[in-house]
Amino acid sequence: MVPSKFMLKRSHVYLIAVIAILALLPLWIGGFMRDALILFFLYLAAAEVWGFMAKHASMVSLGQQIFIGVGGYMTATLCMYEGIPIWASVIVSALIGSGLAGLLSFPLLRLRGIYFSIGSFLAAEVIKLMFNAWEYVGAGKGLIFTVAYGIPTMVIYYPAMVIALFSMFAVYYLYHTKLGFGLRSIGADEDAAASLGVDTFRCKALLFIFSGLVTSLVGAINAIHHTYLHPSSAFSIVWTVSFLFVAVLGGLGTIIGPVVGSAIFTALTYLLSMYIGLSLLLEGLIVLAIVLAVPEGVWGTVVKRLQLRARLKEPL
Amino acid sequence: MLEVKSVDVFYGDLQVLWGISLKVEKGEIVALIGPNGAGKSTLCKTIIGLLRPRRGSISFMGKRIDNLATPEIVRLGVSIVPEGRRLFANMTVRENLELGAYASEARKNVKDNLEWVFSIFPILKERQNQLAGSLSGGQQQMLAIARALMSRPKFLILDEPSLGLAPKIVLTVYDVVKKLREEGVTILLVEQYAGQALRSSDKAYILEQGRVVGWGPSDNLLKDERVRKAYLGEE
Amino acid sequence: MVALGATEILGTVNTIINGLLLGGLFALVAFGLSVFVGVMKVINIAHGDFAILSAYLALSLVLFFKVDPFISLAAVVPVMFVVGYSFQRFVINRVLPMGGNQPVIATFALSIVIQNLLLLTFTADARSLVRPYILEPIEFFGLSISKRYGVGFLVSIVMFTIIYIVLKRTYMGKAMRAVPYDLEAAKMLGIRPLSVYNFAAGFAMVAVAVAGVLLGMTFTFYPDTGPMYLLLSFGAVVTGGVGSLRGTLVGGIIIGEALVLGGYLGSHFQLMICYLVMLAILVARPQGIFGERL
Repeated sequence: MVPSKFMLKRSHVYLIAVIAILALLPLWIGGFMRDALILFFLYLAAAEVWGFMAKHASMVSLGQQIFIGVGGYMTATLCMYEGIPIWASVIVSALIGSGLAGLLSFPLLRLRGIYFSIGSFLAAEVIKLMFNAWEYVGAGKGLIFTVAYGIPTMVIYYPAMVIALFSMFAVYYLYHTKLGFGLRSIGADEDAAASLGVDTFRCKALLFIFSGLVTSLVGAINAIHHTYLHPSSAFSIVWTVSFLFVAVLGGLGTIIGPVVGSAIFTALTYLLSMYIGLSLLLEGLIVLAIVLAVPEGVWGTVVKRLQLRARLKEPL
Repeated sequence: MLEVKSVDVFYGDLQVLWGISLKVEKGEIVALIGPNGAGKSTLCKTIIGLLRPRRGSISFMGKRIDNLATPEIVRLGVSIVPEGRRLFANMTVRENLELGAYASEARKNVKDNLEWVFSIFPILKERQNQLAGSLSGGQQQMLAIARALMSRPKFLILDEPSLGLAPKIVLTVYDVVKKLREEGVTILLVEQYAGQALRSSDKAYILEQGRVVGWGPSDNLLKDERVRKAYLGEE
Repeated sequence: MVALGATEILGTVNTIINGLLLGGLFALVAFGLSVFVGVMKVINIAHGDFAILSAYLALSLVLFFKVDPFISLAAVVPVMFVVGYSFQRFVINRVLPMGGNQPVIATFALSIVIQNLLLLTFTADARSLVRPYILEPIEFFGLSISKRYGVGFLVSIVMFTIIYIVLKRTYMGKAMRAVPYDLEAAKMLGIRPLSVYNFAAGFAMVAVAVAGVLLGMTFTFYPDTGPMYLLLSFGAVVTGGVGSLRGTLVGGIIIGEALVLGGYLGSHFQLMICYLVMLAILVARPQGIFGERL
C-alpha cells in the first residue's frame, strides 16, 4: 500500500535510474575513470553549496579551503594518532568542520558583500598559517596519510558519490524550506528581510555551517584519495577558485548547473594536468567570459532558453 | 525652447504622470505649480534625464532629449537646481561652484563666471573656502543656484527654490530670478508656493495628481477664482 | 619578563621606526586600492596582482635593457595606466550595473588569470628588483634603519602628495570626489560618470604600478604574491576608513606596526598576528578611523 501522499512520479523514476547507474558504474569502468569521477563528485558537492550561498544568499565565500584543509587534516590525524577508524574519522572531522564554521559565523557573518568575501579569505590565510606552525599536523613538513594507502578507489568512489548526491538533494530541499526562503530574501535585500522578522544571523549561520559540513566531507575524502597533506595545498585558494569555476560555468545558483560545470572542470583538469598554470589560467578566462557575456552559465542558458523554470516550476 | 509632448512616466509599474504637455519659449519664465506630490519634481527629473518617459517626447531647441543620458542633456545647455539642492557637502563652496562649470565651454572662463555669481551672491564669496555642508539653509540654496549658473545655461530649471527658506531669503532668490531673465536665461520654475511663482512668471501650468489641469498667462491665473481658493489661500 | 635596559628600549624604538617606514610602503600599495574603492565603490580583488604584475614588467625591462628599476618606471607607469583604464572600461564598467556578486567574481577571476599568466611567463622562481645601493641599512645612534623601507616610505609620501593635489586641484580630481558622493548631482552638472571611472582606474593603477616596483625592490616576489598585498592593502584602507586618503596612510602605518611588533611573538606568527588584527578591525570597526558609518 503506497501512502496517498507519495506518488511515484516519472521524475522520481528517472532519478532512481540515474543513481542506480552511478552506483553500478565502478564495476564496469577502469581505475582512471574512477579517479576522474571521484574528482567530479567532490567538486560537484562543494560547488553546489558554494553556488547556493553565492547566488541566493549573496555570500561569496573565498574561504571554503578552510574546510577542505580541516576536513582532510582532522581525518588523517584522528585516524592515525587517535586510533579512530577511518570512516568514523571522516564523520567526526566533518562535525569538527561544521563546528568551526559555527565559530567563524560570529566574526564573519557580521560582514556583508565584499567584506564577507575578503574576511573569509583572511580567515583562511590565518588558519593556513596556524597549520603551518602546528607540530601535531606536521607543520610545514606536511602529513602523509599512511592508513589511507590501502583503500582502493573503488571504495572511495561510493562516499564521494553519496556526498555529491547529498549536497544536491540538500540544496534542492533547502530551496523549498522556510530556511531557504529566508536565505533568498536575505540575498535579495538583507535589511528588508531583517525588518520582516527574518533572523538573518541564524539563517546565514546555518547555511555557512552546512557549507562547512559538505566541504569538510569533501576535504576528508580528498585526503583519503591523495594521502598527502600540506598546508599550502590543503588551504590553497585554488580550491575556492575551482568551486567558483564549477558553479559559475554551470550556472550560478542552479541545481544541475554544477553537474555540467564539474564535468567540464574534470575534463579540463585531466586534459591539462601537465600544465597546472594553464588550466587555472583557462578557468579564470572562462569565468571572466561568462560573467561578461553569458552570466547565466551553460546550464543556466539552457534553462533560460527552454524556459524550464516556468515550465517545470522547479529551481533547477 | 523646451517642448514636452504627451509624456507618460512610470515608477516601475506605477504610472505617475499622464499625458503631460507643456512648452517653454525662449526668454520666458514658466511656472509649474501644484500641490505636494503632484509630480512636479518627477517631471523635472524626466526632463533632465534621470527618468525616462514611457510614452511621449521631450525636445530642447528642436532636438529630442528624452532618450539622452543626463550629462548629455546638461551639456546641451540645460541646467537644474534640483529639489533638496544636492550640494557636495564634502567639498568647499568654491569647489562646488567650479564643478558647476565642469562640462561646459564655461570652464575656460571659470574666473569670470565666479566673479559673476559672486556679484549676485556676495555671501558666497565670503565663504568660498568653507565646506558646503556648513552653510545655512538659505546660503546652501544660493550656492545651489549659483552652481547651476556657472555653466551659463541657456535653460534653467528651478525645482522648489524656496523650500525651507525664510521669507526674506525667498525674496532674494526671486530677485535673482528677475536678474536672470534680464540676462536672457529661459527658466522653468517649479514651486509649491504658487503666489510668488505666479507673480514672477509669464505663463504657468497647474499640475495635480500627475496631470496638467490648467494653464495660461500667470496674470490670468492669479485672478482666477479656483486658483485663488486652491493655491493662494495657502500663502 | 624582558629587562628594560637601554639596549632593549633602543631595540623597540628601532622596531617601531622600521614599522613606521614599512607602514608607509604598505600605504603606498594601498593608495591605488583606496582611490579605486573611493571612486568606484568596488573592491578590486586583483589589486595585489596588478602590483606584482608591475613588478614583473619592471623586471623584464631591467633584465632586457639593464636599467635601474626606477628608470623602468617611465615605461611601467604609462603601460599600467592604460591597463587600468582598459580594465575599468571593458570589465568593471560592464560588471558594475549587474550588481551583487558579479564584480567580486569578475575581479577574482582576473586575479587568477594574472597570477597564472605570470607563472607561465616567468616560472615560479623567486624574483627581486633589489639593487645593491638599497640593501644596507642606515646606521646611526645605535639604530639600524632599513634603507629599503625608508625609500618606500619616501615614495609613499610623494605619491600621497601627488594624489592629494590631483584630487584637490584638478577638475577630474574634483569630479572623482563628487561622483561617489552623489552620482545624480554629478550627472546634473554634466559630469559623465563612466569617463570619470575610467580615468580614476587608470590613475589608481599608476599608484599601483609605482607601489609594485617599490615592493619588488624591497621584498622577493612570486607570481602568487599578489593576494597577500591585497589583504594588506585592504586592511590599510579599512583601518583608515574607506574614502579617506590620509586614512589609508594612517592605516598602512598601523598595519606596518602590527606586522613588525607581531614579530616579537616569533617570526612564525608575524603575518598571522597582522591578519588577526585586520580581521578584528574589520569586524569591530569596519568604518575605520576617518570613514563614515557603514
